[in-house]
Amino acid sequence: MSERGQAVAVELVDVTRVYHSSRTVVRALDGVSFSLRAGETLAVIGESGSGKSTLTRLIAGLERPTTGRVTVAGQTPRIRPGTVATAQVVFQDPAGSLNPHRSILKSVGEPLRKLDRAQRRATVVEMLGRVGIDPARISDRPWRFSGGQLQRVAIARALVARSRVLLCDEPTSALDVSVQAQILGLLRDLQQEIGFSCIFVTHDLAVAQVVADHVLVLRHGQVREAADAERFFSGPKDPYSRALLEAMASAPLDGRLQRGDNGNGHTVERISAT
Amino acid sequence: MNGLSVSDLTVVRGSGAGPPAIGPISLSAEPGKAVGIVGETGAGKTLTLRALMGLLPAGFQLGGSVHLGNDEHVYRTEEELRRQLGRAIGVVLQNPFTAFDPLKSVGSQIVEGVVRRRLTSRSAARARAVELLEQMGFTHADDVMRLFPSQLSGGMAQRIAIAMALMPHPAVLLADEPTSALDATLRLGVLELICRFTAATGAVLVIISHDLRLIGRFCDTIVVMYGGRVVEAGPAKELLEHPRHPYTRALIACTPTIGARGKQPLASIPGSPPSLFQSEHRCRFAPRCPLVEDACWLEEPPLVPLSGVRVACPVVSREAVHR
Amino acid sequence: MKVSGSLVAGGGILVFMVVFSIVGSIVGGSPAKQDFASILARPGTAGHLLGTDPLGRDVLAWVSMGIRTSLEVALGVVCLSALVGCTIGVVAGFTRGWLDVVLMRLADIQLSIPPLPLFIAASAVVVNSMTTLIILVSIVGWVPYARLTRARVLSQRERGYVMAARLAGRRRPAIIFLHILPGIRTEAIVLASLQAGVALLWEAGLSFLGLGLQPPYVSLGFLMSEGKEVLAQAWWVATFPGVALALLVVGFNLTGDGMRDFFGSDVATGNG
Repeated sequence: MSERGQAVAVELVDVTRVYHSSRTVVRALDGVSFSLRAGETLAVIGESGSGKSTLTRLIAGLERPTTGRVTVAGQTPRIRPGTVATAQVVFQDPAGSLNPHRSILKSVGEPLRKLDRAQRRATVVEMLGRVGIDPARISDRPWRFSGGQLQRVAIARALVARSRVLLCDEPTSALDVSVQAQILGLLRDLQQEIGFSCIFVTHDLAVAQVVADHVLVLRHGQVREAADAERFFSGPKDPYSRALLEAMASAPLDGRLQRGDNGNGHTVERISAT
Repeated sequence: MNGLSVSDLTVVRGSGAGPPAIGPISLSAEPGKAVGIVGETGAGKTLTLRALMGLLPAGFQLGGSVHLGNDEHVYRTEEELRRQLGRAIGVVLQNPFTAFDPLKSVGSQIVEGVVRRRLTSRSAARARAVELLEQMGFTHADDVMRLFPSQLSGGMAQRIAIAMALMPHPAVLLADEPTSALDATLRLGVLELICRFTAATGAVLVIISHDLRLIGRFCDTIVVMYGGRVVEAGPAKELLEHPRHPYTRALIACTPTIGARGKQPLASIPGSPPSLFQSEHRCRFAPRCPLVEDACWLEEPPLVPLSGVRVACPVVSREAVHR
Repeated sequence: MKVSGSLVAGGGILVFMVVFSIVGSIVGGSPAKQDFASILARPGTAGHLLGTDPLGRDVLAWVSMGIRTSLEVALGVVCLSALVGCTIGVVAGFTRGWLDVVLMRLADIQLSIPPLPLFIAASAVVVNSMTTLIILVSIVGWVPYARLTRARVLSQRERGYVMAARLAGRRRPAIIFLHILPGIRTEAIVLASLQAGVALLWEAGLSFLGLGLQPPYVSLGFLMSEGKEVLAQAWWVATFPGVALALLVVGFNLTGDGMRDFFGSDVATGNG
């Protein structure tokens, strides 16, 4: 079972990130604060230009905040050659996140260079099995896989080194609806098994509702609303959040879902011919 | 007859042996109504769109017929359909910027099509362009006409592209994922504009999309495609409230929507979509269908009426009859 | 990956030229040998299939060896300028910051210096040697490689898999060799094929002007400069080396185009 404890997995305190170019100054993030407990999922909702990508990079340690403090698993995230980063990332474009010249064995095994070859291979095979990729395909290159399969491989790579924090940057935006459902289900199952904390960036509120324990709404680099998922989706307080929610409302589909849970975590539509 | 009527539209690759890649597709819509063609990757939406435009890639053949608007003529060949682009058929594509020549002002491009084809005079075209832009929500349409594509935001560009497509009073407006390149808050506004305007002019709107939520919200009729076939078609409300085909039901179950359910998992469909090019005659959804029977592997199910919609699933049809 | 007509034609021409040069040397003998009995002999004269030059040297022998000289220089220049240029490009693209600025300004300076005055000035100091010539022409030729490599590095850096490699703790050299360079090799190969023709022309041109390879080196350009003097009476002395040179350049250009077709903007390889 996941470790839903008091431990804080990710914390941002008054984080601002400013970019200076020759002509302009861009405040990508402005005074952002939140904290995420271990084992839980935070959905970061924002459109283009909201600062969500910058947020991802800061938490991953690819960049540093201009002011404020970012803490991941108790430490400042920093990319150190030779050590695997605490927070791993699943990117939006599945094809772009895997080196096309290397087999998926090599790509997924990249964070495992401390192990010897046989151990690395065994670990990769096990992880690929867990995400639903046939281990017989480990020597294949990325072009042989579909978008959904590549995203599974990317998830395998992100989790293979037992990361405590998973950053998902619009991981399903480029996928079909049914493939998206598979990936979201996979992430949910893995989170229950492994217990990582997840920051899930998306522009789609409905997807956010499927995954989130907590919600953070970003606009132009600022936090417009931060709340527990249940409270947020039953009635957001901020006008921008409300506008987003209304844009998503899609009667007559809402509330109409017939779902069945066959008990092993993979839900299956229990279809009757009525 | 008015509106749009498509009869047994097929797309065949090569010599034509074996089942067609797409079709047969039959649908009709009255003027001012909106039809949503929904399907995932590999469903054949793009090929269907290209068939309707008369722009199939080399090696593909068009079958069936299309009837547009007030025209008596029945269109059976690609050449005939192609000639109607910019006249009776208007097209709006996903990326708004691909509709424009970056070197010319948008105003000159909006009027260019109708003036070139001598459908109207330049001054009349300009007046109509201004009027359309105002309908699309631009308060200073004259100024907008002078802008260049590089000065436009995504939302602006798409609205202008729509105005451009509507210039020749088309009988049909084909929109291929018209809002997927736009921010979520813009999407609704743009779609509302398209729908309102086509309803007002009596054009038929055909929207092709993978997003069932948008289609459900804006379309009068929904056509669900899978593997190059129509699996279910009917009035939007009825189809979404009482989906019958197993794929439609699965698609709806997979689609995340805002609801009172909180953090709940979505259903998912195991497996992956089929190729459009198959040699066997069978139901294309069979490998992934929870209701599959032996007969499903032997022939393609026809689209038959069932309680106000049309469904291509003999299992479902049979169960319904027995009640 | 498709083998186009250009690739076949270009490759065919180059193979033909190599074979010709080998056979021609066997038939023609030593290019240095001066046959005083047959000065300015016409093509077809006994023992001199393509005629002789003002000093009685066999044109066939000279052209055959000259082809090999040209190819050696072209290969040397391509290798050296690609090595230097790509390294500079990778360093500039990867480190950004002041080093990038300095290196790219260096490239700009290099491009703004007209090559010919540079060679003339250099010839006052350097000796007649193939190594020196290769180095000189490479100095003029490295910039396209640097710019190309730098541009590709800049675009590859932002790819998901490069960031994933950094998150996995990879060190910089590994990232460059495993993730960045493989995405560059296609374009580098195409560029190299095209630059080979440029290098050939520089060598021949400089030798023609007396600034490049002089005897005892056997250069097509040198023979052409000799032939220029006697063009009216003995057209063959300048023409045959000229034709050989033209064929080599066309061969490399077609091969370069063919390489581009061969690799294509192949989504599968991540380039394009």
